[in-house]
Amino acid sequence: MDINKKSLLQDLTPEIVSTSRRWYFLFALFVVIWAIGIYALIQQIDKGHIVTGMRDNVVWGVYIVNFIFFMGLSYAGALISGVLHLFKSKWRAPVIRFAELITVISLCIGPFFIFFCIGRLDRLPFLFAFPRIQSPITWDVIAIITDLFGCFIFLYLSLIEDFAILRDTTDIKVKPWKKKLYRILAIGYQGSEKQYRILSQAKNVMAAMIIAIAIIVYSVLAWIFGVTLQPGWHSTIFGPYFVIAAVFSGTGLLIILMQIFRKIYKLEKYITKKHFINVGVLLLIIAAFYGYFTFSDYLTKWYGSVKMDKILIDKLFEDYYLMFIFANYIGILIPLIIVGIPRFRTIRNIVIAAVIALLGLWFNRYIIVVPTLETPFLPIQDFRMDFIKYSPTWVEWSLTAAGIAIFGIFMMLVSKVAPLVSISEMEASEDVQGT
Amino acid sequence: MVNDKKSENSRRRFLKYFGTGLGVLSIGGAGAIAGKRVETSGEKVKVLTADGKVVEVDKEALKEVKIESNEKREVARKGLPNRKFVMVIDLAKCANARKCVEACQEGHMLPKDHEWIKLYSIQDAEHTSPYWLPRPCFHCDNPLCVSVCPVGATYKRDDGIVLVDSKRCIGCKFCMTGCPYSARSFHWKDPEVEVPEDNVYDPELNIPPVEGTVGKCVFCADKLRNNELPRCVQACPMGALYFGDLVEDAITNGVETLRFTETMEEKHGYRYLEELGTHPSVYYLPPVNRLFDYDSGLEGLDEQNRERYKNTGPRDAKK
Amino acid sequence: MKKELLYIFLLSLIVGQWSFQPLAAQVEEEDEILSPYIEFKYLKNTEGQRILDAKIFLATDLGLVPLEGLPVKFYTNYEEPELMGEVNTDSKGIARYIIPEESVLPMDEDNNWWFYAEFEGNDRYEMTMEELTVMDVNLSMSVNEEEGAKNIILEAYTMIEGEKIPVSDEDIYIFVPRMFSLLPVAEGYFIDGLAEVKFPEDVPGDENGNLTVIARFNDHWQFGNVEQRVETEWGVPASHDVAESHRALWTQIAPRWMIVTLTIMLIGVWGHYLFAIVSMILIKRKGKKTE
Repeated sequence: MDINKKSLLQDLTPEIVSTSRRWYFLFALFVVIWAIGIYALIQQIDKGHIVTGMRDNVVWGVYIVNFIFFMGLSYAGALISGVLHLFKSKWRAPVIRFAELITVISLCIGPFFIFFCIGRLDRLPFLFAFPRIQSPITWDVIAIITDLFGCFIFLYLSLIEDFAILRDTTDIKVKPWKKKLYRILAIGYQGSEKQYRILSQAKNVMAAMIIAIAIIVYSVLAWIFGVTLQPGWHSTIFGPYFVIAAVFSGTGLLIILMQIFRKIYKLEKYITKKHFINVGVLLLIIAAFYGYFTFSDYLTKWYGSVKMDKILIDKLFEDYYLMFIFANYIGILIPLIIVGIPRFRTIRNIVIAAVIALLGLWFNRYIIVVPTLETPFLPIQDFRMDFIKYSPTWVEWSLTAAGIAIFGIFMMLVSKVAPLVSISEMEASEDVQGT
Repeated sequence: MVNDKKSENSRRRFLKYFGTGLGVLSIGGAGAIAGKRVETSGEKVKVLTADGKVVEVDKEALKEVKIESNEKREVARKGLPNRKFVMVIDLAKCANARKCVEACQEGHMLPKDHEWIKLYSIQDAEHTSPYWLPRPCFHCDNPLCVSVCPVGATYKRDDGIVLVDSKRCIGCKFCMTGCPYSARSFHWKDPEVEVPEDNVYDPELNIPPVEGTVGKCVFCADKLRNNELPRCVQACPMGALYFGDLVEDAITNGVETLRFTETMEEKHGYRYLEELGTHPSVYYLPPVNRLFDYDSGLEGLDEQNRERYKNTGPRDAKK
Repeated sequence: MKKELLYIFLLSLIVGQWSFQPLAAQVEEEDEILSPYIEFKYLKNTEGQRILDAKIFLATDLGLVPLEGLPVKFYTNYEEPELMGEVNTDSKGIARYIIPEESVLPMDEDNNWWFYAEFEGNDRYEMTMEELTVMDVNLSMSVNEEEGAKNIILEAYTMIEGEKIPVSDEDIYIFVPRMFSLLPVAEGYFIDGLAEVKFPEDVPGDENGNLTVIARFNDHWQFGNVEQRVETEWGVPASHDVAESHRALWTQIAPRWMIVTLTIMLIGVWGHYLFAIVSMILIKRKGKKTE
């Protein structure tokens, strides 16, 4: 494989050089979806939360599911990029940048879903003016802010080398204002030995920190549910369970993004089947763990048959049957089978497995949040259907779509400034390979 | 029209804050003046005190003080001294008359679908008989709702009452998921009530209802300050709700007064879902020797309420 | 022509009257007069004041609603009712008339006083009235504490034609005032004008043990309400104080271990961030040097 530096640069920076028509079209599409979401949000602020499907028993619905989902993606990205960095795996080069980007972008989107769920947005500063340390939400606020800082720092550290390359290069045509930007952002990095040492030390420290923070912070989010008494939430393994589920979803998204950008930017040279299999094996291992935790949780609930647990499990198998099967059977078995059996291990199949895993995990969050709230200790005795059963409205779905659209928008905007595959990592890995 | 309302709201809010600031200043000023020695004018005025005595006061010593909302909110955080309020509900007397629900809604300007005290039809097991369970907020001694509030909008006072400060609540609804008894309600839309002109917001009465905040039974703390029973207790035609004070060891339903400790002993009072460890302040007396049978609670119900009690057998009954 | 016009005019007037009649009836019906209830009680308090309480209220869907500001006239003397006074009901619906000490009230042949309270009615409420017969009883109360036992000694007599007749064969109850009502704690029985009651040991008082003890004929068929109050120190001292410094999950101040743990973790994490930022600054400096 003849990959010299020039062609590397040219292959990995098409969007930085010029903007294709396809980019504009896709961007416009995302913006339209986002605008619909904004309209939905205005409706909600104007008319009150009555326009959503949430009512007095199911007070947390699709918004909180999305919040957990996006935060899960974020922490998974943090874990994966941190682990890959520390273990210096040879194959990590084309993949690690995607992981870092997933981390930061999801982290920016997640908290907005919490904001949508808050009844009095004008009082948001109260979280900082009158914080109560005993509340898991305060822990979560502190955790998210800490994580945001940390992930930004980590992403920036890993971008410094790329910015330096883009600042210095003459192999591709970079607009002058972007050159100036790179000069500022590269903070004078010349690649000297001393600088390199400081940088890699900082990156190692932050990578370790990111792993620790990701685990702690997502556990805090899990404990928002775990510390309440509600049947189905008051589980001792919620912390580790959420972390495993998060990594599962993050790995799935990573595979999907790898395939999307591989196809769009024709990166088949760099992101090969080997990479898909490696990340796929990660998916398999995590799927096994996730399946183990899920089984363990439901087995102990079902066997002990405490009254409220039994009522909850009955509801899961009656009203939420399809979702439950999809999330906890299909979502686990398909990835296991596809990646486990060598005959099925094609790139296309692995991507399908990733999509199923991702969808399955969204449903998993849904059946964690909603059925518990529909089976409180005191039975719901009401005549209004919307108070008995939760059904999300167009407002909630629009905002979900808007969240995904924003993810796309941010990715596309980042691709204009920074390479989506780390150039410096690729160069370093090529050197290692001795080409 | 919506825009007008919004700008009017923000104007109203601004004026309120401005007014509050002025009010606080004026109280401070009045306090400063009051602290000084008051000049006597010699002119005496007859004043009726709160406990029915007529006293003569020098005219100069009288000063009318208007209490602003922030002061009321602070006072509401401190409870009544040396009290520990408790409610006892005699399930043998409850017949689902629903007067408690109506009185509560009337007193707190609640929309008809908000029930701070709610009536459940409970059947514990297949071979036990169903009964009616009135469930106000239990004002737990280990309140999970208070523990999880991120901004301290809900708090527990020394006299045992748990209140919600609607001016601080951000509407995150964590307290609603924290409460195992589903005692809290959320105002999902603008309640559209006519607020009385001179209303100063007081968490003890908690009117007007505020959109986007949580509300719940407050044991009518405003009435307790005047030594009056809560609205539901006064309204119950069966006398099933008793209210009292653990320190004084007395409970009353307006007609008869009993000693709390004796009642608990003789009639085996218990608390609902005791094993959850929330330590409620509401005790129940078991439905034995019932005055009314269960079915009398279904008579005279309107269509909607009849609908809600349709499928109420034991919850995990084999279907 | 003019005559016909006149006839038409007169006819229209008559027809107009007819059509207006039902409207008038409608208006009357809307202004339906409500019937309140009256509750009339007699109380002789510990200072010997004789008090008449008339409470006027409406029975509605939401329970009993007291009516304020209605004038109640109080009469006595069954043979020839004389007006004693007029009082307006207060916010609790109670009109209280205190019979002046010096008034000598006429008695009937059974030695009872007769009282009559009337609300004459107005355009919103119907007239309502109630009468009451009361026999005057003199109640006296003394308390003593012997060898740890708390005793209440009650004497009661009525005056019939200048003679003291001791009260016999009657129940009397001992109450203590609680926040909303009176709590019955003991019971006594009058024999020959004397009742001795033992006061229980376990009644909570205020934080110093002070307790008001009330002996009362409660809604007695003959005597009405008659009470005597004595301030004692017979209460068990009772108080409820939660220390300001109490720390729990649900208090304003968090438990100490929580604050410590959180601080340590935050310092640990943000310390590393500081390290990374310092590294970046160092890189920048080194970059400037080589330039």
